[in-house]
Amino acid sequence: MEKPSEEQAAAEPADSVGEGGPSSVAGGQAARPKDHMTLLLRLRAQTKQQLLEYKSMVDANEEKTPEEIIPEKQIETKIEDLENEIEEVKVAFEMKNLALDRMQLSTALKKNLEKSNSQTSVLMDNMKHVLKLNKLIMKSQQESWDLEKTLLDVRKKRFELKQASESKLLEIQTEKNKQKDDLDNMENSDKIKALQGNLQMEIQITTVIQHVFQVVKPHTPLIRFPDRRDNPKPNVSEVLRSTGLPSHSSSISQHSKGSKSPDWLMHQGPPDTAEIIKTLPQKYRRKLVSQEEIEFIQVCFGHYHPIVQYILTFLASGTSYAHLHAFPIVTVCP
Amino acid sequence: MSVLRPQDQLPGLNAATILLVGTDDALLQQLADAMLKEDCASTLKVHLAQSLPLPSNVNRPRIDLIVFVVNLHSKYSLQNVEESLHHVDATFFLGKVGFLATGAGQDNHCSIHRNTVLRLAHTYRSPLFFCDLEVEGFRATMAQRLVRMLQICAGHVPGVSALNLLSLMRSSENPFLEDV
Repeated sequence: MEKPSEEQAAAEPADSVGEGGPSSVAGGQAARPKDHMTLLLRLRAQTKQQLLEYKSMVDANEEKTPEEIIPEKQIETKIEDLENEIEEVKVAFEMKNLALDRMQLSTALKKNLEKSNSQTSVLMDNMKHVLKLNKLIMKSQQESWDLEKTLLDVRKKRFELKQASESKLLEIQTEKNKQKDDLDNMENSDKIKALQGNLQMEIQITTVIQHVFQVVKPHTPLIRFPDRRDNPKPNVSEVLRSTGLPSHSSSISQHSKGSKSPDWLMHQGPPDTAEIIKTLPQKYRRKLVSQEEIEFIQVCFGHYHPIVQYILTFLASGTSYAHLHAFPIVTVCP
Repeated sequence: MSVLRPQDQLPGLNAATILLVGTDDALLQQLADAMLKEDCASTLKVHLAQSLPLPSNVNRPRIDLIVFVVNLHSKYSLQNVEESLHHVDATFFLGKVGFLATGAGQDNHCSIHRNTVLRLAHTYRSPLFFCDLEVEGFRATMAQRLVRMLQICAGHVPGVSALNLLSLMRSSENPFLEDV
């Protein structure tokens, strides 16, 4: 059980501030008002503080706690939250204290520097060193910042180039696709088909015309017997001479028609001379073709190829192949 | 009144009262003497009690600070303190309560582990002092500390309140107490 508590009154403090007024009138009256004053001031401070405490208590109590019973865990969490808040406020207070201390320190340092000069050298050296280091730090920070900036610029440029190249490749791709599409379209286009049809028609027309020409051409008399009524013995050289030029001219004109006959005429073998004809024995000489035969051949076979006509005349005259090139024929092409 | 409340009475002018609760009377008396020897601008009053609740018939001034003294050598003191704690209002624990553990010097006599008292103080969010009250020097130092604390708790120090002191005195949590 408890013991009855004892009360003990504290002994009066030893300092000059007395409690209340120990009534010793003889003791320094001049000191008393001063004592009273300090006591009163102290009491005022005390009362202020206590008033503040009570006020805070009242304010805290104004916040109503909920009536229902809160489980203990929630109370714990609430307590922790409040403690965290207190910690944060304390930290802020500490920071402000530090700032204040730093300011006070700097002013004290300044005053100290102004006062004494002998000690300043070390301090000044230290401060200069600190300033130098700070400058170096700032410079290196600036450099690093610049380098980072250039790096960023390079990266940005690279990215832009990449994008441009991507777009270009895309363009190329689309162009290629378009070309391919065009090519495919061209193959199936109607224009080409029309052109092809036209071409076919042209080919057909040309073949028809060729046929026509080949058919029409033989209608012109290609050979004609020379007129030998007055001179029965042919003078080959004369005839050749007389026929050479026109034959050449006729061959040239024949060339322009596109016929193959002048080739044969051009490639006459050894020139016919009168001597050869004269040296030829009688059996090799051809016998003369009568005028009626000439007219018949000319009329009937004048349309045919000259080679055919040659053959017919040989058959008619009965000469051998050896006399082929001695046989003067005038081909006239009107 | 069965429960002590901090604002039951108006504060006396220039007066500060401390209540020491503990089972060891001799130790408490010595501590009280040491405290009264200290220089203090305000009037000090020291109350001693073995346990709470205090008898209601006595007219006493407003109590500014309660210090529970636990002797690590006896488990009974801890029990006594724990029982007494129920008779203290919750608002008292906002800086106006402290725990004092004595007898930590003789480790072989200790029957209560340090951690027990640490956990007790942590539960009540109150400061804990370790002091060997049998040694003169430690007792004097402790008395000085208690006097300063009492002055603040009584509101005699402008600018510092009991709650402020509590938050200032609280150190970072001990690692082995985090898993309480």
